[in-house]
Amino acid sequence: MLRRVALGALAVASPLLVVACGIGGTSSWLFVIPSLLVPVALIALAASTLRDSRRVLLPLLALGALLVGSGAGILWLPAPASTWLMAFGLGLLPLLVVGLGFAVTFDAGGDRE
Amino acid sequence: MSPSGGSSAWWVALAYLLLVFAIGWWSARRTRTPRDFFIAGQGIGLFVTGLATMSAAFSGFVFLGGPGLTYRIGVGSLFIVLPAGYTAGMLCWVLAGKLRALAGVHEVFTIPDVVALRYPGRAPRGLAAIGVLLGSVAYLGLQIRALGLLLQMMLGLDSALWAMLLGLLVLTLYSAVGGMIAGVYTDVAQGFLMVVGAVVVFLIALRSTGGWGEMTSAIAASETFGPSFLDPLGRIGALQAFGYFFVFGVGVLGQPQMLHKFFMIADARKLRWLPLVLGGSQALCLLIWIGIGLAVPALVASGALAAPARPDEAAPLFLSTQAPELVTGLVFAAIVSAIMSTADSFLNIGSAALVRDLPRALGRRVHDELLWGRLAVFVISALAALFAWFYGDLIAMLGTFAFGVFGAALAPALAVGSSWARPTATAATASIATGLVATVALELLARWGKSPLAEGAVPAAAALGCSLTVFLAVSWWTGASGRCGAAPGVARQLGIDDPS
Repeated sequence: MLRRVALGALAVASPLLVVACGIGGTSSWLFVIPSLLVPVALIALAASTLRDSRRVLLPLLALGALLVGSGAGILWLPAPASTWLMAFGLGLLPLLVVGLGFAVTFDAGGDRE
Repeated sequence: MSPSGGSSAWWVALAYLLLVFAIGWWSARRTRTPRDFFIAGQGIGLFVTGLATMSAAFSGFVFLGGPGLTYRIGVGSLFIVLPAGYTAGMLCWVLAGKLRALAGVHEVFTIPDVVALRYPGRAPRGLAAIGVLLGSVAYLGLQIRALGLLLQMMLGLDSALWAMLLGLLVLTLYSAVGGMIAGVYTDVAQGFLMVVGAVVVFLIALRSTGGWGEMTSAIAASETFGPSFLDPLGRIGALQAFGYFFVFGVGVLGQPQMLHKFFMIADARKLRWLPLVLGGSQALCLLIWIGIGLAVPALVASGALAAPARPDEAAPLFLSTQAPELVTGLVFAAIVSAIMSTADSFLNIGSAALVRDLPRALGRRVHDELLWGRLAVFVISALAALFAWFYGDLIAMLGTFAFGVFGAALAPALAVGSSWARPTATAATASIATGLVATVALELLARWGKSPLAEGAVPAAAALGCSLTVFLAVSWWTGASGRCGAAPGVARQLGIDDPS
C-alpha cells in the first residue's frame, strides 16, 4: 500500500515539475507542490522495503507537515521574521525530526547481509 | 592586487598545509590495495563517516559560492541550503543502509558498480560512469576556480591562472599519493576545521554588523539592496527558488562523493546516528553562508565596506577586512579544507570511473587499477582545469550545474530503483541518458540565451524532472510486476525481493 501511494505521488509529481518549468508565469507555483512532495515520496518508497514500514509513518508525516507548514510560514511571514525562520528554524527543525525519527525507527538490515 | 591577511594568517595557513601533508603521508603508507584506495579498506566509524561525508559535500560552493550568490540574489539563495534539514536523514533512509549492505557482500567500490549490480548489462554502468566522470570534472572545476580565487586574493596575484595552477598542483599530488584513505582521514581533520571556521565567522559577522537586528535593518534601509533582498524569495521568482530546493533536496540522492562514503562504514549499526552527525555538522557549516551572505550587504549598505568587485569575492573580502589576523588564517585554512576535501574525493571518484567503470562497461579490465587510478588523477585534473578556465559564471552557478549532472543522471535509478523491483536496465539506461543529455543541453541553451524553459527555471531541475519521469514511464512500460532484473542476492540486500 505504502509503495503504491509513494509511486503514485512520484508519477503525478515528476511530469508536473517538467510542465511547470516549461510554462512558467503564474503556473510557477505548480512547481512548489511536487518539489515538496518528491522527497517525502522517495522516503516512503524506501520505507516500503523495510520489514515494518509502519514505524516510519509518524516521522514521515511529521516531515511532510513540516515542509508544507514551513513553506507556508516563510511565504506568509513578513521579513525579517521570515529571514530568521529561513536561516535558523527551517534547517534545524527538520534535522531534529528526521534525525531522531531515523534513529528511533532504525533497522540495521541484518537480514540483508 | 595586494595580498590579504597578515603574517599570522600565513603561519596558520602553512601549519594547516603541513598537517594535511602529514596525515596524507601517514595514510598513504596504509594504501596498498585497490580496496584501500577506493573505499578506505571499509573500516571507518560513525564520526569519521559523518564528517568525511560533510566535508566531501561542502566545498568552495558553500564557503565562497554561497555568500557570493546571496550577495547577488538575496535571501532566496537559502533555498539551496534549506534541504540540508532533511537530506541527511533522507540519504540514510533511502540509500545508506542498502549501499552498505551491497558493499559488505560484493566488490563494490564505486556508484557505477552499484548500478551494474542492480541493472545487469553494460549500458547502465557505462552511462553512469560517463555521468560520474562529467560531474566530477565539473565539480572539480568549481574547486579549482574557488581555490584560484582564494589564492589570488591571499597572495595578491594578478594572474588567476597561476594561482589556480599552484593550488591544482598541491591537490593533485596529494590525492594521487594518498587516494581515499588519505582523503577520508584528512576529510575528518578538514571537516572539523570547517565547522570551527564557520561558527567563528558567523560570530564575527554578527559582531561586525551589530547583531542580527542591526544587520537586517541596514540591508532593508539601503537603496542598493532594499527590503526585497530579505524577502523569502529574495530577488528571484518562485520557479527558481523551488527549483534550487528541488535540485538540492532530491539531487543529493545521486551525489557519488557522498554515497561513496556509505561503502566505507565498518559497521551498518553505526548508521543509526549518522543523520544527526552529518546534518548537525552541515547545519553548523552553513552558518558561513548565512553570516557572510548577509553581513557583506549590511556592511556595504552602511558604508563600512567597499562593494566587492565580483560577488564571489564577498567571503575573502569580508575575512580580510573584518576578522582578526589569526582568525583570517584559520578561516582561510577552513576554506582551503573545504575545497581540498571535496576535490580529492572527486579526483578519486573520477579516476575510478575512468580506469575501472568505463573499461568494465566495455568488457575490459585494467591490469593495475591502483597505478592507473593514480595516473588518471592527472588527466582529470587537466580536464577540470580547462573546464574551470572556460566557465565564466559565479561559483554557485557552476556548483548547481555539477550537482545537477549527478542528480539528474543518477538519483532516479539509484533512489527509486533500490526500493522498487520493477525498473529494468532499459529504464535505467533511458533515465541516465535523459538526465545527462537534458542537463548539458539545457545548461548550454540557457548560456546561449536560447533556453526553451520559462524564465527563472533552473535547467538542472527540469533535467531531474525529465529523468525521473522517463525512469517511471519506462519502468512501467518494460518491467514485469514483482520481478526484479537484479540477481536474487542483490534484490534481497536491497529489500526488493518480496513483490507483495
